[in-house]
Amino acid sequence: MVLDAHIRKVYIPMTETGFYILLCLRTEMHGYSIVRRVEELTDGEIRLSPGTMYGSLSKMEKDGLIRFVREEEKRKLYVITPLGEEVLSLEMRRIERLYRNMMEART
Amino acid sequence: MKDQKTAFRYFTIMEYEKEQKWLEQQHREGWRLTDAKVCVYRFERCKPEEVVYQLDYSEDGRARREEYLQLFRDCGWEHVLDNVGYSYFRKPKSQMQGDEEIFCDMESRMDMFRRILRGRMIPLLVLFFCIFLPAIAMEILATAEGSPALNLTWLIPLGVVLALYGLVFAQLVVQYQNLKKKR
Repeated sequence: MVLDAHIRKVYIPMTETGFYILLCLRTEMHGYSIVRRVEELTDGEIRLSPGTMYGSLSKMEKDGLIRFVREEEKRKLYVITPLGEEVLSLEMRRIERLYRNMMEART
Repeated sequence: MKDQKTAFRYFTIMEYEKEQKWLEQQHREGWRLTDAKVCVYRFERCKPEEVVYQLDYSEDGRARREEYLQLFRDCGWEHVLDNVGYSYFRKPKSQMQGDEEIFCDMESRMDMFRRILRGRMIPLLVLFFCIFLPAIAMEILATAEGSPALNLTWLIPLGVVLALYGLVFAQLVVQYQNLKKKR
């Protein structure tokens, strides 16, 4: 899988949900543990819903951004792929630029 | 007092939000959903409660059922049943912090809408162009060739089908607009 026009169109820019999923999946995790992790990271402000989580995971798996690792008590663990890393780092750069410009505008 | 009831209600594939509201209303009145087959709904008596009902349309979820249902269970959603491609979930408001739905962003709501289009609307359109449209055309041709009168036995059911198609299509457009507005 390569970073083609389809991937760009769907994932750049990315939803907050998508971004957090990729961020979390730099280590192996299942859907519900991502939900809890994102809750911690955002002081409870973002609570991802199961429909959104399931839909995003299955879409990202199909598009090759993440891959299935193993199953643990009916819960499937996923991890980010090199393509996923590439998309994530593009997004990080975009958000960094956004942040820099915001801070400049503030001062 | 009766502790079970059966209700007949028809919702088109685009009326899932209306269906959710109706099921919530039933639960509020002390009837919890136990079974649904197309448009036949079974309820049993329960204590009246504010419970959120949600429908998901996910072919992938049905294919990988265990994982799918486990994720919903982990998030506190009870899987009630599956009916015509939809999975029905519910969660009492008392167990929620604020408002909760099974989708938390615009994109995933749109994604579900697209899944319904692909899974339901396209097959319906294929059916329409391959069966209903030729049938109507044949009927009109036959009439033009001088058969005694319009054959109403055929035209009436076809008319009903056409009207239903029109309705679903109109609802599709309205639902799409509503989803976009929520953004």
